[in-house]
Amino acid sequence: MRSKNDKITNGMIDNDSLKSPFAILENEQLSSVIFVQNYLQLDFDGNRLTCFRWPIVVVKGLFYSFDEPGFRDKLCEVISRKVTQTLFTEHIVLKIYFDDDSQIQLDLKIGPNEKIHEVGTFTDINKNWSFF
Amino acid sequence: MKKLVSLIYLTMLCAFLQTSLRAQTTIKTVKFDFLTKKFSDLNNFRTGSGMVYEGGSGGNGLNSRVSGVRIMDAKTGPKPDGPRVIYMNSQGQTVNPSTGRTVPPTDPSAHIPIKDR
Repeated sequence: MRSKNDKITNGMIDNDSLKSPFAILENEQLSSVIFVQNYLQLDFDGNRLTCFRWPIVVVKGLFYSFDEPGFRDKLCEVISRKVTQTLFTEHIVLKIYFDDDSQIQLDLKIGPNEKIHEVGTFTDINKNWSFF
Repeated sequence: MKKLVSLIYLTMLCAFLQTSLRAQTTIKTVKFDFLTKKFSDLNNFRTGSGMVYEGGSGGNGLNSRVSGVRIMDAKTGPKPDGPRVIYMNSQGQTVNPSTGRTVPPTDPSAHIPIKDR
C-alpha cells in the first residue's frame, strides 16, 4: 500500500535517496498560467513547469482536455491553489495534485511519429533544470 | 546494498559528466562568450543531459532578447535525438536566436541540430 507522501521517480518509489525534482512544488501555489505560442508554462512562484504538450485538468472529478470548451477557464481556476502532492513517473506521466482536489496531469510519453523533442522542462527557484 | 546503489549513481554521474564534456567540445564552432555569466549543469541526469547557460543578453549576431542557451546531448530511448541547441529568453521560453521572438517547439529554429564538421 503506497502512502500519500510516496513519490514515484524514474519508475521507483522515492525513498529520500531518489528525490523527484517536482517535490519542491509541495505547498507552493500555482501563481500564473502563461500561454506561449502552442504550449504552456505553469509558474509556482518561481518554480516553472513548461509543457510542450497540453495537460489535462481535473476539476471536481471532471477531466478537461485542450480541445474541450472550458479548458482554459478550468486551468485558470487552479491559480492560487496549493500543491499537495506530485507524482512523477519518467516517460509515463506527471500528476500535480492541489488542495481543492483538482489535478493537472501531463502525459510524458512521446510517440515515434511525434515532432516534439521533449514534453517539458522544469526549472526550480534554485536554478536546477530537468527535462522530460 | 547502499554501497551498490552509491556505486551505480557514481557510474551514472561519470557517464553524465563525460557526455556533457563531449557536448562542450562538439559545439566549439558556436560562440557563447556572451553567456558565461551564469552556468549550471543539468542537475538531474536521470531526465536528460546537457548544459544550460543563463543570464546573458545577445551578442555575436544573436538578438538582445536571447538570454540563455541549452546544449542538449544526443539521447536514445523510444524517440532518439541528436545533440541540439535551444535558445531562450529570460522567461525560459524558446526563441529564434536571430529575432529573439518566441517560436513553437516544432519550429526548425527551436531545436537546432549540432553537426560535426
